[in-house]
Amino acid sequence: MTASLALFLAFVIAGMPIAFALGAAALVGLWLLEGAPLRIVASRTFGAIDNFSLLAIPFFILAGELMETGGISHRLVTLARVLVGHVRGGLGNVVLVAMLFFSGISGSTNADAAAVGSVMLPAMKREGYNAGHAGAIVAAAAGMGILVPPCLTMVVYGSITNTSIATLFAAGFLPALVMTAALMLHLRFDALRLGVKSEPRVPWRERGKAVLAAFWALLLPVIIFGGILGGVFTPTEAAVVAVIYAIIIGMMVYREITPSYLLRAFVRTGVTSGVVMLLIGSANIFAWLMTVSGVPAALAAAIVASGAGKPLFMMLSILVFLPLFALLDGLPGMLMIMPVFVPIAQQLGIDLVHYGIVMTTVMGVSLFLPPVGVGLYIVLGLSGATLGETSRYLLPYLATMTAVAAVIAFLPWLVYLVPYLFGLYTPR
Amino acid sequence: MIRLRAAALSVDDCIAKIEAGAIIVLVLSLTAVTFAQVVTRYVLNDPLIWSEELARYLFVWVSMIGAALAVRNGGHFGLDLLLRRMPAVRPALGPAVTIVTAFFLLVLLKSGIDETVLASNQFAMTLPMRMEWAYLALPVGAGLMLFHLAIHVIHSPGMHILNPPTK
Repeated sequence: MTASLALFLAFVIAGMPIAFALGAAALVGLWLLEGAPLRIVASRTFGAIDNFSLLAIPFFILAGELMETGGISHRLVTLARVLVGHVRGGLGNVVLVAMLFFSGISGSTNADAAAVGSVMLPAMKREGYNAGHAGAIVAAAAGMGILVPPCLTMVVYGSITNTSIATLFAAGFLPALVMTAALMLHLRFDALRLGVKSEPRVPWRERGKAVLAAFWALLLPVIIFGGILGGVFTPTEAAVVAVIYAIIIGMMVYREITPSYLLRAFVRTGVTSGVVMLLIGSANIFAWLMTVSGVPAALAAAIVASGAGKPLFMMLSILVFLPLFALLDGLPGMLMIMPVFVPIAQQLGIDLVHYGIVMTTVMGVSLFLPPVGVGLYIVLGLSGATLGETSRYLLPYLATMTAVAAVIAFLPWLVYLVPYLFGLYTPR
Repeated sequence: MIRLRAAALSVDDCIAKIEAGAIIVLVLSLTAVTFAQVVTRYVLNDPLIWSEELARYLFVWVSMIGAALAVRNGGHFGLDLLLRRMPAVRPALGPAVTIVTAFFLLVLLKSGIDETVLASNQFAMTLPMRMEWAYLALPVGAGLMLFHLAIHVIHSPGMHILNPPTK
């Protein structure tokens, strides 16, 4: 068990893809555990992928691919601009609101950063924003967007811990709004300090026009969440409805999706799903090894016996997740740490929906954490600013976001309120 | 030798095109089957019983072939911090990483074949097919990943798996 863990770390540092590193390290553990049949490798991989809940992953990826065409990005950004462009903090607020809309369509944080960033960064630079500052705002907003459902992290967490994905989705709404409010406040202080201009207020007529232009794109999240929260669709079914809707809107209303674009989107979806699912498969072999070794259970018992309560463990979780998720690209880090941390959380009586939302919030920060966050490099590629220049502006935003993560960890009702209102959660 | 390399690379291109084609067909069927389930349940009120199981097996196939194509494109998640900071260690680590990866894939291939053989006398729950057709995705995927890995080595032996081949 310890040998496997050490080998896994060595493999990853050597630059081995994480999916293979997990699998290969688990093999050594299986070999040391005499009598463990090699069949485990295939059966655990198959068992992990053969799961109807996880089928939401390719569909949400595909829907995102199809909705992220140039025209839809522009319409959503224009809408955000006429709604909040005049608020103090200017275009920063526009980025945040556009990200709320976008994340409600797509389940991938990196795709959100790319879509909103490619439209907003040039606009912000034209308005006199420093490239590093503009990139930092886009990165922070995308980190917030991970909390807005649909969210692939929640799909994976829910299916592995047997937590309702619909409840997790509902639970993300309020924390996303709290995070947005905190970042808007932060932008307001920045605006006063740096003298950022706001835009003139836009007349209601023009706002109405922008809403109409974005109407078909905005209807999609309404269908998805209306369906899931109303208990009509399972998340997987809602995801496939989103795909069909995106194809119809993209080909017939906005006329931006050509057949060849559609085929390329299918291939990209297959490859991205393959990467994610192979990772989940190998993590499932590794998780089996961990459970059999009894280490997580012993660790959980020790922590409970030591008298460390929920608050201490929550703080510890945030401190461990933050660098780990940044180093291991988010999802792989989560898959690796879950077999150890989730049983402890359960032992301590922490609700798994609450724990999952805290984990997701931290992942939003980690994905953009300098100098390794993957999402950050997508933003740097678009903004053209250097890592150092962007980090100078980004670190204060990430500090605010980490503080919000701590608030969410200590105020569980922020997580439960929306699921409770929709009848998806009953307080114990 | 050079001619052999060129031949290997063109076979690689050809296999990649077949994989992309297979992914298109599979994703299309996956979407159609799952959407059919939604329509029959909510619109016709007469849900299909086999759609969910079929969708799950198609998904296993998409995942394994997608993962194979990702090996070719260098698309799997990994940490390249050390490689970027210390380029000097690259030539040593590249082959080591390739060998360990190949070892894991060989085990996945072998155990996948074993599972497929075992599943050949087992029927699917709601479909008129034997389970071997579902499990077959594992050895096929592992085999394709090994193939692309071998092409990486032929293409440039010291190269690292995290980086896509440059033509």
